This record gives sequence, C-alpha cells and structure tokens, in this order.
Amino acid sequence: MRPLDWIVLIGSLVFIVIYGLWRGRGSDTVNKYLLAGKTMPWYAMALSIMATQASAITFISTTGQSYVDGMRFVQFYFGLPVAMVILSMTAVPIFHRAGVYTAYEYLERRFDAKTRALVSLVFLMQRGLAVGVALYAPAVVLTVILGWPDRLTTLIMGALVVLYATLGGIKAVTWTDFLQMLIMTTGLAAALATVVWLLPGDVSFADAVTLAGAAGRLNAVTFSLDWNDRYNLWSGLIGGTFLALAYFGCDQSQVQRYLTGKSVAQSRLSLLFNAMAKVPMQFFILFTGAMVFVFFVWVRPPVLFHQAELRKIQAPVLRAEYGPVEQRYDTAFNQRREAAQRLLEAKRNADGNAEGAAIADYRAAQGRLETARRDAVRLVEKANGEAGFNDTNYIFLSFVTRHMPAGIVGLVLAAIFAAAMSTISAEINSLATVSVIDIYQRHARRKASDRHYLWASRGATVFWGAYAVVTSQFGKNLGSLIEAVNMLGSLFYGGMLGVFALAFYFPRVGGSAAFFGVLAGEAAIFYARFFTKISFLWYNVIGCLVVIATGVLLSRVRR
Amino acid sequence: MTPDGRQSGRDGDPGEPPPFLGSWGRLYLAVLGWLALLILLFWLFARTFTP
Repeated sequence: MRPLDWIVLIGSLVFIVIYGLWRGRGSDTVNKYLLAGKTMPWYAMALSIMATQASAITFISTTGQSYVDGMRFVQFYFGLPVAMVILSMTAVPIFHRAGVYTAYEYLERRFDAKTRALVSLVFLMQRGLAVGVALYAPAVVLTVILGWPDRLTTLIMGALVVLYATLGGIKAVTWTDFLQMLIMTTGLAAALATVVWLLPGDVSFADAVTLAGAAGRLNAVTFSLDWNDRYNLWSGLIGGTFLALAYFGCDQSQVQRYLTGKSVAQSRLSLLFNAMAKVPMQFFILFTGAMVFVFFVWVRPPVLFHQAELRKIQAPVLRAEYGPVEQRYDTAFNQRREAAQRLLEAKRNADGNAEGAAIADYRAAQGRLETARRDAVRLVEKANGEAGFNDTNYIFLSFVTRHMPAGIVGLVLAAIFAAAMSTISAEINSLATVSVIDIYQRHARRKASDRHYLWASRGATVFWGAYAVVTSQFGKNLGSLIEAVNMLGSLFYGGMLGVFALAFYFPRVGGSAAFFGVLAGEAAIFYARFFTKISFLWYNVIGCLVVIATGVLLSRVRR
Repeated sequence: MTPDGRQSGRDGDPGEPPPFLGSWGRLYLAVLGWLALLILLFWLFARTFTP
C-alpha cells in the first residue's frame, strides 16, 4: 500500500460515513427510521438492492473462484431475473397493500402469530449467521495487506457501519448503498481494465480470452443436467430462481429495501433494474477473475496465495516435502507459459496442427500445475492438523496488492470495503427491524410510544453490529466465502419461500398447516444437506415444495 | 402510522403503468428476453474463444 492508495481508501471510507450521516438526518420516527417514510425513488432502491447483495465476498471470492473453476458460477444468477419478474407481479403489490414493516408481519395477517414468530426466528438465525461471514471478508483484505489481526479489522469496519446505520436508519443505509454501488462499479471497471493492461505487450485482448478459454475458464454456460453439479444452466434457472425468490421475496434485508419505495411502480422498477443489471455485472466480475488467471500464465503465481500458510510449509520442518512440490510447480508453470506462447503463435500463423498440439500441452501443464497446488494444500492441512484449507479468497487480493499500480489498489480496496459495508449495514438494519417489530413489539411490549420503539430500533442496530463483529471470527474456516454464504442461506430459504408461497397462492391453507409445513420443509432441507449429496442450490426447491405439499395436505386433513 | 406501530397501507396505485413499454406485461417480457439474449451471448462467447 502506497500513500496514494491510503488516501483513496481512507478518503472513500470517511466520505461514505459522512454521506450516510448527512442523508440519514431527520430519521426521528419509527416509520422514517425503518422505512424512510416511504419516500425512496426507484434508482436509489435499485442500487441499494444490488449493493446489499454484492458483498465484499462477491469481489474477493467470486474472482478467485473464476481463477480456479472458471466462469460457470455466473449460471447461479440466471434465475434472478425470473424471480424479479415473479416478485414484481406478486410480492411487491401484496406487501405494499398490506402496509407492513416486515415481510413476516404480513404472515400474521395471513396466518397467525406463531407462524410469524417461527419465520422471524428462522430469519434471525439465518441472517445472523451470514452477517458474521459478510464482515469477515474485508478482514481477509487487511490481514493479507497489513498483517492486522482479523479482530481489529472487523471491529473498525463494524464500528463505522454501526455509526451511520444507528444514527441515520434505513435512509442512511440506502443512500450509502447507492454511493457504495457507484464506488464498486468504478473499482470493478478499473480492476478489469488494469489486469488487461498489465498483460505482456504482444498478448492482445483476444489472445488473453483464448488462453482463458483453452484452460476451461470461460465455461459460462453448461447444459448438462447433473443434480450433484453445483452450477449448470438448469440448476441456475430452476434452483437459482427459487433461491432468488426466497432472498428477494422473504429475506427482510432485501424486502425492506423495496418497502421504502414511493409506490408499487417505483418498487417494481427497482427490482426489474436488478433483473437486467445483475447477470452482466456478475459476468464481468468473473471475467476479471479469468483475466487474472491469464495474467498468471505469464507471471509466476505463488504456489499458495495465503502467504502465512505458504511460509509454514516452506519452514525447515516441512521443507523436504515442500521442495519437490515447488519444483514440479515451477516446471509446470514454465511448460504452461511456453505452451501458451506456442499456442498464440500457431493461432497467428493459422497452423491448425501446431495449435492443436500446443493446446494439448497447455492443458496438460495446467493439470500438472493444479496437481502441485493440491499437494501444497495437503501439506498445509498436514501442518495444521485439519482438512479443508482453501486459499480461493486470497487470489484476487494477492494480485491486486502485488501487481496493480498506485491509486488503483486503493480504489479496488475501497470498492471491496464499500461492498462489505453496504451488505453489513443492510443486514444489521433488517435484523434490528425484525427484532423490534416482529419480536419485541409483538411479544414483549405491545403498547409503547413511537419514541420508545425508535430507541429500541437503534439499540437493536448496535446489538446486531456487535454480534456481527463477534461471530465474524467463525468466517475463516468456511472455505470459499461466497459459497458458504449461499449454502447457509439455502438451509433456511426453502422453508421461508414455501410459507410465502402458501400465503400468496393457497388461500385455503391456514396458520397451523403453514407452521407445520415450515417445520417439515426445514427437516427435508437438513436431511438433504447431511444425508445426501444433492447440490445446495436444490435445497430451496426441495424445502419450498415440501412446505407447500405439507401445508396443503394438512389443511385438507383438518377440513 | 397508527399508535401501535402499524402503517396505513396506502402505497400508490398498483395499476400505475411503467415509464416505458406501456404495460408491466411488456416490461416483464423484455426482462425475460434480455435474460435469454445474455445466455445466448455467453454461450457464443465461450464457444468462440474455447479452442
């Protein structure tokens, strides 16, 4: 980190906090504090929704995932536009007409208090688990760059977010999200442009894309239908639709964004803007990861991107085992680079035979490189005495801090921090809203002044901010963070989606049937998670269908 | 907002048309068409550059 990077990073963070405090002024009633007085325009909600979903994990982990696994993760988002259309047609007008603060409040009107309480608790558990992971991601950044302890970083980040979220409420959260999304887009564009610019002078953009494709890094669409395969067109379109329906239709951290809209039309537009912008945005983030891969075709990447773990296996006690691994890695890297050169030359000369031979050599060398990396991972696991080591989250950061020019590093880091802050602020804001409206006001203190609930909301925001800081320490053992968050969500979203589907589309199903339907749906999801190999994207489908089937069946039995 | 924390439940006209394409139905179709186009472009992109 050079002085210019620090100026850009600190300047951005300070500006975000001041902007949030300025925008959040006047939030002096519960309605203004939790719903911005229903005054938000569609573009602010749209970018806030995008910023909430795009956490630091999106930048750190998605790019790394593209580096190791290609772009197929983009298929995960194919269901999102479908879900946005469905929600615009159903949930948005229903929630607006009901005039609720939370999605779960609607469940009591439709079913009963116990169903509302159960789903509120499921949300608090699920979102409470995820908020710690979201806060941990930027801590990875400063651990890599500065060697600061995780705890200090999460404490600083948490304090900044709690400051403006507590004082300014959802207005501060939404407008800072808007600003943070602009910073993220700028940072993303700068990262992609820089990585292409850093490629050797004789490697054109088309050459770089060819090298990414030859290594299987452009696998953006795969048509095979495999229940155990996490990302293909079908799991993305079907499983992704269910996950997006649950996330944007039942998760208060998203529902609260569009409940602040001036009108049904404004809320719909905010969702439909996301429907059109999200998939291309993810494509470009993944494409940036693929270009980082191509950069490292020419510049030797470290055997492991987690430097502290790499130093462990380079220590004398493991040196005898690590030495041959590193030697194989270096040989494979040189062979891959040489094959890449031959491939591009053959392509320029339109020599089909030479091109075919070069591609085969390039892929074989890539395979040997990956084998050596896997062996190094095994050594780390041996040194630590535990399995599951994964350095995917360190790849992009390692590239940014070691190879990007001054100023751009600060901008990319500001984008990562902006992404983290936008997600965390929305999450603690929604957790506080559900805690106060669905639990405290409903079950503990039903009649109190508006001022009382306003202060309860502020207190709950501080509580959930502190909770996020404490639980963030569990994030370090979760492998690829983006998958960890989506996996956590999938354990609970199916049940939530099922009960909202019952509420919207099955008017004859009553409260008890819905309540036991949720329990049955969650049981089915946990069974699928722990006793089958079904990919997590299908959990939402399974859970939702079991809730609906159980709810409908029980309601018929009762009649 | 009412004293017990509920809101009044008036949030604009659900029948208000979108600012473009004339109706929500057409806008929804445009969004789904855009998704289909993106999938096609991604597939063509990968196919073109994967030797």
